[in-house]
Amino acid sequence: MSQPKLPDIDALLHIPQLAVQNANAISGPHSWGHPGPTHFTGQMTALERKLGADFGLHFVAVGIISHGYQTQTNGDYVQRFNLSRNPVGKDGSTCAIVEEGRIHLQLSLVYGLQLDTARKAASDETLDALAQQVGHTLATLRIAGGSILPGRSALKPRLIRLADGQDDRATQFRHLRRYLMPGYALVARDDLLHSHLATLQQDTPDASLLDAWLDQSRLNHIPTHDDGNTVWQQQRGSGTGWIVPLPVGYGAISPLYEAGTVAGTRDDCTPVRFVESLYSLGQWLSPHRLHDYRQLLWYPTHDAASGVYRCRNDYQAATQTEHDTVGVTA
Amino acid sequence: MAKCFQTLLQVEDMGEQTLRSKALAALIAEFINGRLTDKLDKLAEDDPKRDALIAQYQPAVWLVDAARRVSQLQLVTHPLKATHPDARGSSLFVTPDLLPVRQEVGTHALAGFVSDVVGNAAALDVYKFLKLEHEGRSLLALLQSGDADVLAALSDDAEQAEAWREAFCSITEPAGGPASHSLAKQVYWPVSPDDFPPDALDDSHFHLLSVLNSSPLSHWLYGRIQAHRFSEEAKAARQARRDGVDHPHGYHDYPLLAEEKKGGTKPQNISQLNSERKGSNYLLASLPPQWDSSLTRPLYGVDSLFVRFGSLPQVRRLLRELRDYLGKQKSEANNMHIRNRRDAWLDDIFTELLQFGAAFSNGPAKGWTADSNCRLPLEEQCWLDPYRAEDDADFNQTFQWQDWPTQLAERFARWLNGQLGAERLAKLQLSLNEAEFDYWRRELAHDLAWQRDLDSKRRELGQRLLPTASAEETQHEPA
Amino acid sequence: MSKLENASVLAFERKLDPSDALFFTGNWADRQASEAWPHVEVREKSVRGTISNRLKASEQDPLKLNQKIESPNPQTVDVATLPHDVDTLKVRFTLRVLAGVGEPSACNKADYRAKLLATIAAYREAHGFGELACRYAANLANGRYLWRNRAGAEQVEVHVEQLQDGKAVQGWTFDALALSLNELATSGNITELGALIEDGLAGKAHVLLQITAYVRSGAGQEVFPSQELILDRGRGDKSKTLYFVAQKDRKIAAIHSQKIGNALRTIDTWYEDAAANGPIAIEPYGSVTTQGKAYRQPKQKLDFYTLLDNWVLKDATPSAEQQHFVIATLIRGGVFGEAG
Repeated sequence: MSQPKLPDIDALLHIPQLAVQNANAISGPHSWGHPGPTHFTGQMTALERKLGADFGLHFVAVGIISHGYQTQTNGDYVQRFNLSRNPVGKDGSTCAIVEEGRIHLQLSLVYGLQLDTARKAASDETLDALAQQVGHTLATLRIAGGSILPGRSALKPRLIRLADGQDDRATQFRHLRRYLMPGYALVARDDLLHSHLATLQQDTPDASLLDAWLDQSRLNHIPTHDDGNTVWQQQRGSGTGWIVPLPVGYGAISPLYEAGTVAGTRDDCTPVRFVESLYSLGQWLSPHRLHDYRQLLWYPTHDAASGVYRCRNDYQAATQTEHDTVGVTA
Repeated sequence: MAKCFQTLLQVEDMGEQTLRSKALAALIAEFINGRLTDKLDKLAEDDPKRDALIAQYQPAVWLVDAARRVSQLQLVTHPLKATHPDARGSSLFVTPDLLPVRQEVGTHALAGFVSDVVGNAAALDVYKFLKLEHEGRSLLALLQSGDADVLAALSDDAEQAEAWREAFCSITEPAGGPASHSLAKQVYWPVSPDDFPPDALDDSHFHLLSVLNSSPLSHWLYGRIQAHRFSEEAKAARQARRDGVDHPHGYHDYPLLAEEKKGGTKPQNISQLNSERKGSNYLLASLPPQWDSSLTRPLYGVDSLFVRFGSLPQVRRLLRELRDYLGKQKSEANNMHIRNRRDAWLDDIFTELLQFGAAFSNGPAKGWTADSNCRLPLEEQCWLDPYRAEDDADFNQTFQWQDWPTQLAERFARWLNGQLGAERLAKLQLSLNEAEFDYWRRELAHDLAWQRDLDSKRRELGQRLLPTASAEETQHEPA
Repeated sequence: MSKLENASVLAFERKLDPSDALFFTGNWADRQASEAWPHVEVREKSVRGTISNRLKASEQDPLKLNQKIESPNPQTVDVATLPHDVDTLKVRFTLRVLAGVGEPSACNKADYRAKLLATIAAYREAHGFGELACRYAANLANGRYLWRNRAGAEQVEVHVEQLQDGKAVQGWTFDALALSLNELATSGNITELGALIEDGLAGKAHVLLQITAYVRSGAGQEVFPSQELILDRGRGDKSKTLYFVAQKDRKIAAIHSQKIGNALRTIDTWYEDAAANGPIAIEPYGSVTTQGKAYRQPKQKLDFYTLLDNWVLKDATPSAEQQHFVIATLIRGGVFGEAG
């Protein structure tokens, strides 16, 4: 099976410094915190549909950069969500609380775009106007259920038409990178999940993917011995960097039902499938570490054979093939 | 055909199997009697209801009722109500072995799993009955495999036994056709009909995914974390660390672990396992690092940004770790491994510097370095307050024509040498070298190219203060 | 023709989207220079609780009572106050008015959707969104969203500005205390503001408003940000937690956006007890959490679901007032699919 790759793109659209209020902090059934990539690819689809066919921008992928956040939680060792007031039922009695976790976000997005023929030939002014229009439309949509607040940033949305050569594209991306700081970009670390499983299996042959995943999602305190002294060390798995458990998409747990054959669905003209959430590992890192836009962008994929619907990111693939850029400017 | 053959065998083996069948019948009778005893214990000796209860708990009578009530239950792995207590629709029973192997973490990766039950809590005794174990297998599993002894144990009447078997086995089947609900989580996912990327504007390029929670996975996670938080082993290891003494094993912490409660005061309304967990569902944190923007108050009254930078907790930690590491190395030990470790730390420190710089250049109002309280050297002002060049002609001169990136890189190198000890570095043959210096200078100079690029896009003024240098030109400029 | 049925999945997004309201502080006379005002900080305070609860008979032994009183019950609570040298609280939020009233974000029956949209179009033709928009405008002007901060204030001045690209393009000023909370005044410049909100709801303009309320409540006075709802507080935990928005290292006292939204949609005067009880927030069953009461129960046939079904499914058009209520519930948003 060949690994999917980011489709070719023509342009990057940078949406700087969005303030999002009350986004859903429960990012999946087993994780909380920053909304995961599926929220952003879903929102990307909603955005393209809202802009309409005549807009001429096809949204392929999205990069997610966190500049800060405020969680709506309380507690010391274990976090609990701050809730809104008990709702009242139709007879005035209070209803059971369904917990909703909320988080305020400060983030930037970078969309990977394909341009239609007209947009490819458009002037810089036209593209800039399109970028501003996307910014306005985006502000009327939700991000992970949260509202986008009017920005305070001096920066404006910007559309960067990518050059033809790889080196020029790398230069363009390096310039963009600085707008994204201070902040942390989200990338996929499926590679680490599997390499860590191999590591665990050296000592524990029946260790599972779940064990590897959980081991990377916590702090391990281990006694070590140094010249006869015991030193307790704190390790975050065996990886380096800021590794987090990440909901990346969904796996089928039923056949694909024909449109209209499942009751209670959002429409009766789309095929329906029951799925569960799938997890992998992600990493938050300084945008300065990224050398290629492919390392930043997330895109939705579907694999019919395994019934997997998930977001992918080519951080690892692009890192392996990356040429050393040091020396280009000497 | 195969079934007939099986029946034939059973008849022939009858003599040997009765013992096992008897044991099963005893197990069933014991369970039912146990329930009866519990009920009777709550009644007074002379309560007239006693006789009715005793009649109700005759095995044959109880089984009739149980076979009826089992329809109020469903054995599941993915209960819909875990999404929302008021959602109504299909819950599914999908065991790990039925799922394809996937590269991601999901139910398929569970080695063993526990089933969950949804439905009328008043019928849960039927589920307990089906979970009764004989020789390591549950009654339900035996019934599902059509075990003759268990059928014989249920009833002498083969037809009756078969009818009950069918009823009990239906516990894994959802009632009614497949259904989602408006309170269920439903997401549209783009699916292309061909090799091209899906078209968001084409309604036929989607699947609608109805998302259910995996109860066995939640339960697995809950079990692990409970043990790591509260078990005697974990407590002993924590204590050993506090005491600074050795211990046979370590322990685990889950930073910023969150707990949600499903079902409020009635966790049993969600599912049986949810009830066993008292509604608790653990959520692992996937939060990014938090840049502390309070560190970017204007840099007034200090002679260098490195005063503030060097006091950042994360920078101090990196420096301390690197110093400690270098301190342990012998002078002759310089090798690839040590050099790589050193490089990784230096890279982390330099990354912090770039984040720090960006916080100022993208943060406070431009011109903040023009304040009389600002004592920073010019090269630092240029880096931290680039937009000041837009309104300040003198500053723009410096910004454009002086080689501040080199000066800044030199400052960084001097500061690092001071922090780490130039002599120690030299002794280990790990001195900061020209290649590193060049790299820093260029990375800092990229900022210049970036700022000019930005300026040329931003400025809508008739006259541009900065030359509109192309990316290629600016790359070569500040040599 | 087959009988039209309800959509089992039916949901609407809210069309009035307020931000949290942030607290700042300064002097009444310096309102024009309020951009430079510092924020109101949420801070912790230790209080010594006294025994004031009703005691059980067994606890009324004077000796024991003395012991209890001598071991007081120290508590930590959050508090927010004005400094001792300034007298005015500034409360600021933004409000986005979104177009597409009545367009469901999810609806799984095409014929129902078509009928619903036709129904909304007929309402819009007959009434426009003017009545509702003016009522929302009235609640911006009267400062209802200040909640407890409004009570006891000497003066309350509300500035509403329309923002475009971060700049104010037009604005209005209101004397909030001159407007009663028991009626929704819709005269003078409230009508102008209402017309702008109507344009936003109708999709004729992108409408983003910035609302700034100056509340002169007296130097050093306590002010009232939202209180967090925290379940399962442990012993020794803080007993009152106030909401704040973190900006840099500041904890800016704030009112939750949900609570601002609740105040703005307090425009329902079309229920049975309205004359005595005053306006209540638009809710499908007319429920008022603070009163633990629902004023539009299904048995009265004036709840949202009954009215909507009559209107859309049975062509029994409700009175104009109840139509307003139904449309306002759609503007509020929510998941309204048929149960089961």
